[in-house]
Amino acid sequence: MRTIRALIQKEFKQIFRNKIILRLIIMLPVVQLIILIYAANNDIKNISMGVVDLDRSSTSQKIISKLQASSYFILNDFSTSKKQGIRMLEKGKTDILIEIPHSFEKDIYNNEHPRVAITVNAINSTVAILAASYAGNILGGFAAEYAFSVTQGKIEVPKQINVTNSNWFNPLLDYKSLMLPGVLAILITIMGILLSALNIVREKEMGTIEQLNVTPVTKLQFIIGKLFPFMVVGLFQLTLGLCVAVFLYNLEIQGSIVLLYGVVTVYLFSVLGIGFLISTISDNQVQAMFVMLFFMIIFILLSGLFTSADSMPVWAQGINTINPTYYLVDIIRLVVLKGSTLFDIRKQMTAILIIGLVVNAVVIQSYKKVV
Amino acid sequence: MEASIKTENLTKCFGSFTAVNNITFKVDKGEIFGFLGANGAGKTTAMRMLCGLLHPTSGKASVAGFDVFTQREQIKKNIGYMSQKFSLYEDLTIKENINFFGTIYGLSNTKIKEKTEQLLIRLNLMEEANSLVASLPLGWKQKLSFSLALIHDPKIVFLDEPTGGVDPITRRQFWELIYETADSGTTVFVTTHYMDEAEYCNRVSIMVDGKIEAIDTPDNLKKLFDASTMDEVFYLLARGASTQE
Repeated sequence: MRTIRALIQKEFKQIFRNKIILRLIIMLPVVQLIILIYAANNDIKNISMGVVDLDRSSTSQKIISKLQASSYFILNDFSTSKKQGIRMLEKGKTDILIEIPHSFEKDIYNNEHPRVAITVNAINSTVAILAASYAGNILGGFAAEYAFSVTQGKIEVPKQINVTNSNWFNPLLDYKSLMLPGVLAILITIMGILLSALNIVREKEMGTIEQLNVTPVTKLQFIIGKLFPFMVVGLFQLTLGLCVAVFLYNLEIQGSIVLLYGVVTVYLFSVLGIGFLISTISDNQVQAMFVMLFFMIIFILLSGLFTSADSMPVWAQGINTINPTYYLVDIIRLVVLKGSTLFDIRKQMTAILIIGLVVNAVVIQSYKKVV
Repeated sequence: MEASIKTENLTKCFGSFTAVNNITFKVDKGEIFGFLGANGAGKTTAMRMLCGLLHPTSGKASVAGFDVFTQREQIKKNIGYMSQKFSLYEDLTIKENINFFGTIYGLSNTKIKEKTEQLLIRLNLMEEANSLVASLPLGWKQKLSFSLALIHDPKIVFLDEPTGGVDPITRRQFWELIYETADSGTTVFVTTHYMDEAEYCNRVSIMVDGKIEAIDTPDNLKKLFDASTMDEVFYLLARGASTQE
């Protein structure tokens, strides 16, 4: 027990004396939460729009002003021919082209099918799909209104089923609410793996690990002496992150904070283990860095932070069964946004715990005091 | 006299390369034993096996009465080790390093306090007690490192090229520390490149290509090889080596 305490004290002293690491521990959560949340925003606004109005009627004018009035589109180009409009799209001056044909207004009055063409720059498919669907919605709404006002209700407009949504757990569809808990999870992952992997490799490089290996310190004592301080650091970062989320973004934490800390503690146990594993197979910090990046990028991209993990191919979902970050992103979102209880997240928790136990068992097996 | 270290045909192979080849020797209690050899002759490998850092491939060896195959943990409680590379925590102060290693070896707090004082006085480091180890000159670091290897009063202390890169005055002081240690009954097992240091040892062995080619007191060796200094003896023996730098 005294040995473990001495190891832990030593570790904390080293952390506090390493000014760069100390700054990183404090600055990273704050800065990343502030920058990443705004940058990784999926709400699409200010789409540059081009219009080709061949009809030049009062109806086409109404449609254009309706599109302009929404916050999604900015009218950047008003072309006189489709050819010119397409050229603007090709040049990248506009991202969406709305084309209103010659006979548009006439078609409406003659009860033909009036048509409007929407052409979208689909290099970024997410933007394209959203832009087209925003435009489609606005036009659809316009058509319904217009039909009613023109006929004054005399002509029977085809009955439509009016669908209303209510968005549970994130009522304002605020993208930040979705990103915040996820980014928090990523932060804890990065710092956990980084600190643990580099720390042990550094002891290897300095030769201090050999000095420890000739002492009666056991493997288990050594690993606990490393696990505990980094767990504390990880929980400290969680606290810092939660403060930013609550005070800066007014995020309401629906679930139990105690549960959140419990989950992260178990999670840290498994990612720190992964860090230790990386350090046992690396001889120097550069190697450790590369191995770490390899794993971290896979963990983070597959975690479901940026894209939905449910719509990933089967093989990717297969990888996710052993990806602790995937479970944590899920759990933090559930607990923070939905207020899930331990019972609700028991499956993910069990998975993280099993990963942690397996990884740490391998660490104890592969960390050799004797070669 | 009882043997502190005893090996019999101790061998270590790395793949097809035999780093230590059937070495057999005995070191007595309280002796200063010089373990000489060129770079790559297998000194460090042999020493690491005796310290329980490396599995021997074959042969027998006991250190402080414990077997290197089966009683490694007991050996570790009874030996001190100072590696070639300085390996104290540079980002801890002198006092913190003493405390840390003292605790790890299971010394009581009062004992650590007593040892700290002794050590600081002996090395004349009273004023630097609270400064970071990184800020010390190399010679002081080496002396500190040596003293820390002795903090738990081990029966044997292993020193791997302890005076590499150290100035002549500090080397001299270092050897005084070694003598004091041996006088108090601790066996000193030391590897070195400096042949003048070999003269300070009670007995030396000279390793060439993984084998011990000669083992005796410096005087006897000089007589045997008809040489005036240990330097000459070393040249005569090491000339035939295949793994010289």
